[in-house]
Amino acid sequence: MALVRPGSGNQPPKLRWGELEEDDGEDLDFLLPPRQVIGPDEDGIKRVIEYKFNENGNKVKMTTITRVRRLAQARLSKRAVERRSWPKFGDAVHEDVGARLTVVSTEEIFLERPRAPGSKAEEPKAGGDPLSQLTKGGAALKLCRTCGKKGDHWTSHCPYKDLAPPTEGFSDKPPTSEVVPGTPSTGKYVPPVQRGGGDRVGSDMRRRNDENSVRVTNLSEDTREPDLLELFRPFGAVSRVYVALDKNTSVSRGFGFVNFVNREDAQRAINKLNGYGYDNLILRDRIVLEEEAQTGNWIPEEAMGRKLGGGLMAEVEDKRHSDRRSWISARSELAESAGIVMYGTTGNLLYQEPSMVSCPPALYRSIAL
Amino acid sequence: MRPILMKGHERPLTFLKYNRDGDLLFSCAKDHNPTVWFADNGERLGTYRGHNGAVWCCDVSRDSARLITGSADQTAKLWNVQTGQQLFTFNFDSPARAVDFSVGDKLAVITTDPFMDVTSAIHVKRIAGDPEDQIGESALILKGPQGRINRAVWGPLNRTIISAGEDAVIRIWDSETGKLLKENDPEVGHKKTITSLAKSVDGSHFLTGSLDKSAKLWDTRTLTLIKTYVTERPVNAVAMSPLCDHVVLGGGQDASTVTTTDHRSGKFEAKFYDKILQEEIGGVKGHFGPINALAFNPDGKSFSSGGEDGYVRLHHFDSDYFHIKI
Repeated sequence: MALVRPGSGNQPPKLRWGELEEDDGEDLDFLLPPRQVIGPDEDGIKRVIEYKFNENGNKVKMTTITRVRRLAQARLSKRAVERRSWPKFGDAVHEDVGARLTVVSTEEIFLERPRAPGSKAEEPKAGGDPLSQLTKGGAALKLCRTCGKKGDHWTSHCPYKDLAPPTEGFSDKPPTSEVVPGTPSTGKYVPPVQRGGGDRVGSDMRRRNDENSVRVTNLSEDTREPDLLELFRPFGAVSRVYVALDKNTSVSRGFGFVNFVNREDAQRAINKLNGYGYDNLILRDRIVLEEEAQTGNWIPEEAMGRKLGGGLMAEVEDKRHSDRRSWISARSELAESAGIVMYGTTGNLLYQEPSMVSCPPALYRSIAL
Repeated sequence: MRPILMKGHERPLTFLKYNRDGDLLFSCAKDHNPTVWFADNGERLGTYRGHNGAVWCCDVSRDSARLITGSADQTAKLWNVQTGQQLFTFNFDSPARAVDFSVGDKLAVITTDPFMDVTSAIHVKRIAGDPEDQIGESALILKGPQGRINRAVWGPLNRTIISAGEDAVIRIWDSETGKLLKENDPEVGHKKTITSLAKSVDGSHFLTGSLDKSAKLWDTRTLTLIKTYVTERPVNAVAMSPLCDHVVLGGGQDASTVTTTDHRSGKFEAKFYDKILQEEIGGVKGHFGPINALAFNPDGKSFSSGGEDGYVRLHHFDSDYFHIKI
């Protein structure tokens, strides 16, 4: 950043003429209006207005709008209140608003209980691998998706495997089935996780995540993850709750996912809660099907409609689109919020709306606007 | 809860410390700049520039005016918390590891690593009220333990110093005479390197974490074992809740082997245990590497963890945390 802060202490008191020549561009920054901070107002909206020169020497006004949320109630001592207004020092002096050193996690994290509250410990946990616990926990979980047999074998061990039509893999998954463990003769790099049958474990774990996932739509905007957890917890152990939030406004987009440890629990929850009135809206729940996740034939209608017609994002930060790299990330964010693509927790592409793939950037932008 | 992620450090975190009021959080990392953050929203207040090596440990005085840091550049430094200005440098012949202010902030204990032919040592320094009068001489030097001394803290009324380290033995020293008063019973003690040590709020007991995949709770006066918490991964960091009867263990697979396996098998969660029943309450996920540092806010309503991944994660508990029943 070529911003000069006239007040910063480590500026030499006297500028030599040689330096003046070199830092000609910086020197002009004195002509710019000072940085302005407005707010936070009662809604917690804070505006920071900064001015700078761009490459062409034009004056650019940058407005960054952030929402300040009160996260915790705190009773501060007098000394602590005083410390709140201490000036920044060290590397923190040169921090500009775009630095984003401190961010609030986008994912809701829970204190994950090892077992349901109230129940006693059954047996000492062996291994600790969640997969091995699953196998041990109940044979009912072992459901073969090829022949539909319960509790006998995993899909990958199915004796009728060859008869079944080949299932399509995830698009981001490299072809690995040919690689024989321990033979580097193919010359191809095999990630350690996929060596020696590691791939099987990995894909099984991914399936497990998708399989017992319940999609809840028509949520009210006030519904947050803890509310959803509270609503679904009575049906069984919940491993993950996610409510889709708009990246810019942090307003719920009206749908979310709940992952159950057991499929039966998921089904029971759906039976009970589909059509259930929650917060004056009627919920719609359904299991996320695997084919669906792959082909992407489902689009969150509410979210899509709102994006297209709502005009929620009237102002796009020009800063975000200043360079190509951040433009791409912004675009994928927009695409995700418009329901065109969806990313999993690990950043893998869950589904992609086929018609949108070759859509030019301008169209993406118009969707967002 | 939605944790706050603080990405101020370029290298793995080594230590976290809250000040007494719980409004500031100090973080040390293997990059050379200890950092102070506001503990409520995670905003960076400043960095302390001057060290030339990894910073292993820090402590802040009770009035939040002074900070002491121990670093691998063979120095321990005193800082002005508010301005980030260096006040004094203690020079050693080997890397400084643990630092701790005594009650009253008149003394500080600093441990140094074994290096070349220098053995590890525990130094006691007098801290002058005015930095102008500060001298570098040690009031007391304790020697004897083999290997690194990973942690040394003051016992009740500054009468003793409790040390623990690579030889897996917890020792209590007389802080006046330097005499070794107690060693823990090797039968019940840790089997591998003790990595961390945390005192309870009243100082009556303390918790040690070890690479032998367990944490143990000890009585400060008698050095008897009270409780053992068994986990399935090496323990790098421990913390005790000042509010609930909870202990938190952080750790994970050794950093050098992390990349060879799936991140899910690394077990990089912070694990909560019931202090009395020794039962696991739950885990808080999030780090992409082993947890190296844990600290509880003195009000018990938030805690932070620092990982090998360079992130500090600041967690404000949801209200249901305070009603957890086993």
